[in-house]
Amino acid sequence: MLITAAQQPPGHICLRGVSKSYDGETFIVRDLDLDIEKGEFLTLLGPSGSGKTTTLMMLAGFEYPTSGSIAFDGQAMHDRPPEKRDIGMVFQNYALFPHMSVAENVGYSLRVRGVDKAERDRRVADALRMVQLEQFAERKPAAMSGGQQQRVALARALVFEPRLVLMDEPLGALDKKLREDLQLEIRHIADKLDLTVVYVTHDQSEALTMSDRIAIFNDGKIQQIGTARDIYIRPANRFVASFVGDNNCLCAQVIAIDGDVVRARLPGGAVVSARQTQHARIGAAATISVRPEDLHFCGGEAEGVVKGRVCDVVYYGDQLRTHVELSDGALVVIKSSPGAAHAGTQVGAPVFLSWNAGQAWVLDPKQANQ
Amino acid sequence: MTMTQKTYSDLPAVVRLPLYGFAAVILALLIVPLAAALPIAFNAEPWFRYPLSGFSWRWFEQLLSSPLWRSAVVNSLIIAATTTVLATALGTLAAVALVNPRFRYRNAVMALAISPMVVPVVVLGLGLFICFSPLGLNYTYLGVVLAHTVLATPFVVVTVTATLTRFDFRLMQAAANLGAGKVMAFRTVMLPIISPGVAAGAVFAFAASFDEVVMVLFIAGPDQRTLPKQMFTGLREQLDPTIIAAAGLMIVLTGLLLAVLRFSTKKR
Ligand SMILES: Nc1ncnc2c1ncn2[C@@H]1O[C@H](COP(=O)(O)OP(=O)(O)OP(=O)(O)O)[C@@H](O)[C@H]1O
Ligand SMILES: [Mg+2]
Repeated sequence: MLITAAQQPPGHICLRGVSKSYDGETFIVRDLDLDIEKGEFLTLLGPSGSGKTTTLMMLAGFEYPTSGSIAFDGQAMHDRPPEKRDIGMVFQNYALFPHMSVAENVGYSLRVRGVDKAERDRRVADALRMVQLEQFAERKPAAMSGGQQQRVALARALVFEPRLVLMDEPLGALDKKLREDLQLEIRHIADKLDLTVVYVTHDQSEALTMSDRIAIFNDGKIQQIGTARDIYIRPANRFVASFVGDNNCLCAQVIAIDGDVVRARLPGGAVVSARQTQHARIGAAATISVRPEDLHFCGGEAEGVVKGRVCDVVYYGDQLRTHVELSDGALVVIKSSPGAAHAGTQVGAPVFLSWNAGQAWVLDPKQANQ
Repeated sequence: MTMTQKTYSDLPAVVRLPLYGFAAVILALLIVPLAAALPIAFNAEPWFRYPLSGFSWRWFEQLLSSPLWRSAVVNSLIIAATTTVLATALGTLAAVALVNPRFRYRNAVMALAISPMVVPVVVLGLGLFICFSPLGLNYTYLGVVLAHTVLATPFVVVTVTATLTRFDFRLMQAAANLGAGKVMAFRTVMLPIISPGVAAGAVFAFAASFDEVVMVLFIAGPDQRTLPKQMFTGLREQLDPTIIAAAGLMIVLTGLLLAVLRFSTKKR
């Protein structure tokens, strides 16, 4: 659903039909429509080369769209130079000015805007306090750790109160522990200052924990946009189902649509059910996706039950993952708690699996290149 | 296994001694001519010959008191300083364009920009003389400065380009993102970071102009007589050790500039 200009609340950012091609032939970003609300934390998540950085660069003004429009509060933005956009950016390598102290780095945006010295010092001190670096104001960036440099970059991008903050894998170079601390810190600051943030990552758990909404990118297109929960529970297509979290994607043929429930035949002959979606067409190929935690073992052959053979059991401490080969050769994973029935199943043993029709989805069929 | 770095002293003598000998010959080639010529500046008698007949400052006094020599020193300083400013500005701007991958003709322009380093100066001098004639630039300070700028700019282009290849251009994106226009970003971010390269280029530009004689022979009139020109005339007309004293002055001045450069870049 597109919102008309009149309805837009202030701070709204709107991309319409944005495409980008560097060579005039291959499109890196295709026909992108995206609305970003004031105060929203939006994450762009997708595999390498899917066009996330390119989208960010077009927002920042370092690249211009080949076609389409970008507007802030209804004002056209796409042909404005970066220095006139009032957007803060945290670069992946931080891009701190090596010849300036931490305070000079943070105060740079205020200096070029002609803010007077007293006001500047005050705002720089506030920004440094926010990222807990007050005592490092006079240091050069080279004398700081990666995590500290990251915080300086954050303070520098926020001190001039930009209307939008862009972050391109800002935590990519840090170790896991520090990354998790900074994820919380960034999210906390974003909430406190009511920032509008577009955040790029290819780390799923980072996207799931930090974002208000996630846009899943693939092949220059948004595959699905929504809250972490929406995307996890109700993937819109086969790509999203297999990209976000673990998922079992089974090839099947739709044989009946009965209200909200679709019945489909697996290559091995079993007839299973799943929730109806726009992808279901009687007689057509489809994908049935079921999360590993939604698969159950059951006693024996019955309606909707799939037969297979255990090929591996992996113990993860708090959970058990059983890998099962179905009679048609497809591989599925079942997540269960170690104490559950069937937990002691031997490798090679025959098992029967079933799922609740409400927890499986009918999605688009597997393409030749997947 | 020891991890010590191998040094030359670890090499066997058969390899080591010829290597040392070779290095000594090359260094001698650089130093001996200077060592042979410079002491004559302190000769008490007007002869170019050893042994010296006594120590004296008379040729340095001559250099600074004779109106001809003194105006030559002043001319050289004025022309070299102006050339340095022009060549440094032009060369730095050219280098910034030449490292930009989006500049399509960068290879062609680079070749053109450094061509004065390879084209014989006599040819350039003659060409400039012909071009300057209708413009009335021959026999003027401006003409000499422009001619020297042509020769000196490539030195700046080469040193600044070398520095810029190590410059992280994302810093310019960061500056733009923080609200700095192109000129502001250049002045506050790029220039301070590449300043050692710019300063080195400026010293080379100064030296290129300060000891240049061929262009001066073509373009300069009697009013723009520079130190090298005066030395040349001196060689033909009245040969005395003032020439060597002048050479000593040039070496000291250029050496001082290099020392200042070293000092200022070390401090950073
Ligand atoms: N300046 C450029 N010129 C030509 N092609 C480019 C340029 N920048 C990016 N590309 C191409 O555009 C495609 C998308 O790049 P982009 O950087 O947007 O991907 P990404 O989603 O950010 O990936 P990653 O997760 O690896 O950072 C890539 O195939 C890349 O090769
Ligand atoms: Mg990227």
